[in-house]
Amino acid sequence: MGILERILEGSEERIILKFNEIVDIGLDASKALDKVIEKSDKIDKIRSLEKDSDNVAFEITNEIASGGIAPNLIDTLLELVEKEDNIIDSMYNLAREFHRYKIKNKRLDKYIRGKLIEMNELASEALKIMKKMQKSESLDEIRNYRKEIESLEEKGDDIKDGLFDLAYSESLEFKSFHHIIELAHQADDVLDNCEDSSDIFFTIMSSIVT
Amino acid sequence: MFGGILILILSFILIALVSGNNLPVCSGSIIGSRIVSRRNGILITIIGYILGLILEGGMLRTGVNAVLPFKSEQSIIIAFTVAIFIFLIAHKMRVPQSLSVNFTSILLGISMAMHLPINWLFLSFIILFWIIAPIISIVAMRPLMHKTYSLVKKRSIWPTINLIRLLLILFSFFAAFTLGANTLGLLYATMPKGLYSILAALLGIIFGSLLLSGGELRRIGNEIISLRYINALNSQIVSVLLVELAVLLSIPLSNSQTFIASIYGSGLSYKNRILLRSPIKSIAITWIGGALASFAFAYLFATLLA
Repeated sequence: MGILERILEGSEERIILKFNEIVDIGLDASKALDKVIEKSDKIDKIRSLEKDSDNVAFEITNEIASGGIAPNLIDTLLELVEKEDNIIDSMYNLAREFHRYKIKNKRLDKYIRGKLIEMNELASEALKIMKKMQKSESLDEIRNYRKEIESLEEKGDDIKDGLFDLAYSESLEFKSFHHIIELAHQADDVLDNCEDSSDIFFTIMSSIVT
Repeated sequence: MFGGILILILSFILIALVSGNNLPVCSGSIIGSRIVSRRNGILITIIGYILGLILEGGMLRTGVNAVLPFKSEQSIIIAFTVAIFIFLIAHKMRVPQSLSVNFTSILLGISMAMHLPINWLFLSFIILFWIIAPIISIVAMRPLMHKTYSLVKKRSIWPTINLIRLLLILFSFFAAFTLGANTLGLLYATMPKGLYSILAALLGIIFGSLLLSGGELRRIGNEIISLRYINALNSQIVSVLLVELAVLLSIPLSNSQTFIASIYGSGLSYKNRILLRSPIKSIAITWIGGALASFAFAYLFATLLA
């Protein structure tokens, strides 16, 4: 590869486009999570996706550390790798928690599954926006995508609060109570990590162009 | 004969020291931001130095003649010896030094010790330019940064960044070119004319750039230039234009001064800013200290030998 081609290719661009591999894994994990919640599927698929995400994150980290990245961007890019990888980790943790305990009250169980699916849909929507965001060529567009993800996260917060209210209002045994709180936290973590990733991504892009 | 050979040796050493010491100012931003490898950055700088020296290096003779109107072998040897002494200290401290200021101070010290007729008007003009140039650099950066940002905002990010990267390489080359014309030209203009002088200068450039730039590259890269692309490009543009103007006016001007002032100016152009003043202060103090020490040593040596 000639020197001019290497310059025109740009290491930052190549690495940032590679982040979409993690987002794609996140979208697959979201589908797998949906099946886990809806049909109580096994978590093997989501576990394997979590490993794939770790591998891609490791590759990107290596590329950041050894490639032609401006030193002032290295730390922020590494933070982004960690946050995006955490999205899939949180989905895996949610799936594990879901399988750990069964709520006996069927009405309650159906209601919680519905709310978790709603939160997962929000996460899937946030990931689709992140994918567009990471391909975007305009800072204004990136700023708007960031706001969209922020509003999805706020919707997720409302659902989480609803689950907390439910847990406190029902007469539940400790395990069920703790399980609902834990599920709400894990589902919210997925959206929080999406939001944090979009914030960091915006910071990176704005520091590149300003 | 012996004096001539000694001048060639001293000029080789001094040009090597200056080439290495000033290399980060030219290509520190493209090496530091990893746009090019260290090897390619140094190569671009060497080519720039050499072309600048060959094509425009002679333009500084008017400036040299204004401060040191009669050049004897003795006065040239004193000038180069004191300059090397000052630069070795700077190199040991890993501080970028302004040869333009130091060497002009040395020539002034020698002229005054030898009671030579100095062109005070031109000298005042030179000093005025030294004061004005960093101020222009700082002031010019704010509108330039805003204009560039508004232009970049409207365009697609990655093609714009790629263009900026290319322009950075181009202006790093121009920075080396103007440094070759001005700072190295100042030394060349002090040397006796001839093929051996140009050969000593070229060898000094290559040797210094390859072997004596490590410490300064680390210091500039780690402590001062944590530059974004647009800051780096604009700082380089302002610096190159001012130094080229100085070359055309036959005024010795420090690239380091204009470049670092531009970086400072780019920092001031942000709404929210945290600027580390201590490195800037220490550099400014060493510049002034270097000029005074250069004058004092040159005056002392010239007086003793005269």
